Amino acid sequence: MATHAPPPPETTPRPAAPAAEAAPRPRAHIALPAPGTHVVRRPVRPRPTTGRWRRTKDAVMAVILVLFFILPHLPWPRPDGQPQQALLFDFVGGYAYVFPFRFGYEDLLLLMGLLLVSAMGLFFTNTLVGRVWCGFSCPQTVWTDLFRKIEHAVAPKIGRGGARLLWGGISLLTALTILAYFAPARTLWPLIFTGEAAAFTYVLLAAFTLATFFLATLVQDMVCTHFCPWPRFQAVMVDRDTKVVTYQAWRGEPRGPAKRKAALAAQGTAGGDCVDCGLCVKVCPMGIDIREGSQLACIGCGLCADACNQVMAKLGLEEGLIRFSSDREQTALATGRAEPKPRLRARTLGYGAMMLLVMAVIVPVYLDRTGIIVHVVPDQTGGFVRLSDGSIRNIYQLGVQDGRATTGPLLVAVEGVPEARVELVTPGAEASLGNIVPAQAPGARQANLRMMVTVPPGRAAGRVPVRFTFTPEGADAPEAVERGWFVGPGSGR
Amino acid sequence: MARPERDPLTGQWTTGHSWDGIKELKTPVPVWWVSTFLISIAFSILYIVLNPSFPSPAGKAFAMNPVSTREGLAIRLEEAAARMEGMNARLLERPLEEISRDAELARFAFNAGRALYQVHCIGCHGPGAAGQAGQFPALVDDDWIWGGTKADIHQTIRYGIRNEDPDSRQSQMPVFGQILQPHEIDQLADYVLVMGETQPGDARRTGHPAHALFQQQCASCHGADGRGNIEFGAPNLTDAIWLYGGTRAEIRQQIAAPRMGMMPGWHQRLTDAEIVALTVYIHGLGGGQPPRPAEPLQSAAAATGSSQPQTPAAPGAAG
Repeated sequence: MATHAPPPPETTPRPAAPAAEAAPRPRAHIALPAPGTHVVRRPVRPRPTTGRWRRTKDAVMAVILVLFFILPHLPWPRPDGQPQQALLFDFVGGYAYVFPFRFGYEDLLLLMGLLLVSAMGLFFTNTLVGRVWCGFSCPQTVWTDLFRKIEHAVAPKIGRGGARLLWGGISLLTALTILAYFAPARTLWPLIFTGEAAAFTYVLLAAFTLATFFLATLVQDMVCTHFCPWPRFQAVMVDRDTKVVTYQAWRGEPRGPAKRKAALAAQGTAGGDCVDCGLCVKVCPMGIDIREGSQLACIGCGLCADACNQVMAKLGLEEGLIRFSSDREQTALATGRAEPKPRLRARTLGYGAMMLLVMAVIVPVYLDRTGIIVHVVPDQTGGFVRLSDGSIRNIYQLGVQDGRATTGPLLVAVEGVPEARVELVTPGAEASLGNIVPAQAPGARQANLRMMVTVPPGRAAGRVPVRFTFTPEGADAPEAVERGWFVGPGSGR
Repeated sequence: MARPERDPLTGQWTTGHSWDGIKELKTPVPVWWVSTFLISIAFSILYIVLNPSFPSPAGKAFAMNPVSTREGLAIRLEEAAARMEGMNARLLERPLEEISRDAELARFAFNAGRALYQVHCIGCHGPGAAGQAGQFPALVDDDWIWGGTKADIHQTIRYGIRNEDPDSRQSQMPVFGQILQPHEIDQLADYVLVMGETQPGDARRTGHPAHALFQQQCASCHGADGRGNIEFGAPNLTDAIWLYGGTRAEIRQQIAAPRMGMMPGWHQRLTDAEIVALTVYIHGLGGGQPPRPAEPLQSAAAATGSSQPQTPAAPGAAG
């Protein structure tokens, strides 16, 4: 309307006073959610349940918790100067110690491969059985579950305050354990408890403690629906053959109390098996109603199936009204056909093949690694140096990173030019090291040496390709080989 | 145009505009957004105050934290100099030959020497110290015109070669083109080549027509056996290294009209400690020689009679 209509007399002009703004806003007009968009109860306080999936969850949880808390305390014998902890990610020293293995920066390719294999493994399982990772083994699920279990166990006896205290204790222990993966627990923990650790250690400790506490008590399921990217895109790995937690609507509907069904039966109409007890909603750790169908917030833990099975058993009905099932199975069952056999899909095979492919790449890389990385760079002499007896010398900058578990001297040789003599010098030091790279001190990352390769007169001409070999003392074969060039007279200089 | 009114569904005010009956809500910006905005403004003001952001009329960027200003650079250079002071003092305390026994000091000297080399020496002697054929000698080989012990190298760097400084290394090769007959010079050049192939006393030497001439004209500096003399900067004529070329024509040219290199002295441009560091670096390039047995061990300070760093001379004073 372009014309200015006179305001109705009852319309109040816009109030200027803030008091009017502070008046309670009308809430009653907010539309109810459309069917199918369930509003999650806040906070989610799931009721404990028992059953097959609960037992599986407990077993997985126990294994994960025991491993997490025990692993950093396992000892492992290593040479002097190296940590004696079986699993340690030593960022300061620059090494990851994993039982008998030691990985350095040079092994980052392996880590990338490992992450790829993990991702492909996640995708692979997701195409088969949906979000079992989320429902059973994700740390967010495990710790939230643990905290809820504790609350149910102790709150009736010592109250919620007591439960909170226990939560705090477990959060602190979790934070201490996390730190123990990055600094040796045997030295770090006493320092922390005597107040002698670095200030930043306490900052980290507080951060991890608070994060554990709040993620597992306050945020809980919101991590999955608001923080985590995985639920958002995992759906593309779910297809008609993926077994996900499913409410068999064809069997359950129309739902209703047993009494009403009896009345319906009297009229000759059969009611569904669902008695609408709501137990599946009450036990759900995500606070959703699985009967609304597969949804983003469902983490696939199967606890609703456990609860439903109990009810079905009581009613003498067949179990499995809620169960892990695929869309194709449901379509077949709903139309009265036999349950189709699971079929192999290109999607599953593809992720499996990619997992194997990445492993096929990183396993040879791992087997081939010697832990020694060598850099040979020609010095800026612009060619060769002629010595007074006429012999020809090439000078190189040599960098040796010895990442082997036990470092030792390395013998250097040059292949490709006859009678080549190798001489190594520590810059600034007087004494020649001969052709031996000395064993590196613990904690040293790289030895930088001056390498002089001298060839008698008349033996080298032009620019020839050579191989620098690095052989541990007593070994037959070199553990590292670097290619390079030896420049002699007649090479254009 | 409608009046602003409350929207019954949301409880918010509308803007009062109406487009074909469609009204616009005037929902306030969320508190978290406004606070982030205000914090960002406060942060940027703090940033402007602390870090160089605007030039001032004095030409200096206004900043309380001089981290990336010229003043900041000066401060950090001073800090670096202060850090190196202790090491520099140790470089002067120790006799030259003993520096390499202290691994930490040796590493410091070598790295400091490399940095100095790349500023002061690289222009003539080249990035890898391989010299330039026909002009500047290589420092990575085992042949030293003026001696390759640390004391020799130190002396050469400090005072230079054939410059105006009376302390510099001095020598003069006669212009034999004005003294000898051309055929004599030809014979001498041939004799020099023969020396490189034979040992002293060999019949090819003693029977050579220029043997007597060499002993008469050249041996006083280059030695009777042609092995040179570092006291006069007379190069060894029997080895494979020829600064000015080793062909017959080049040798003949060098006898007839000698070229003689010169090098500035560095004691007016570098501190004593810097010269010691350069000495350690040059000596460590691969051709450094051990001290001669007769030489007493003495520190650089004692050798030069001064432990005070020299003040840089006015430009041009060093020639």
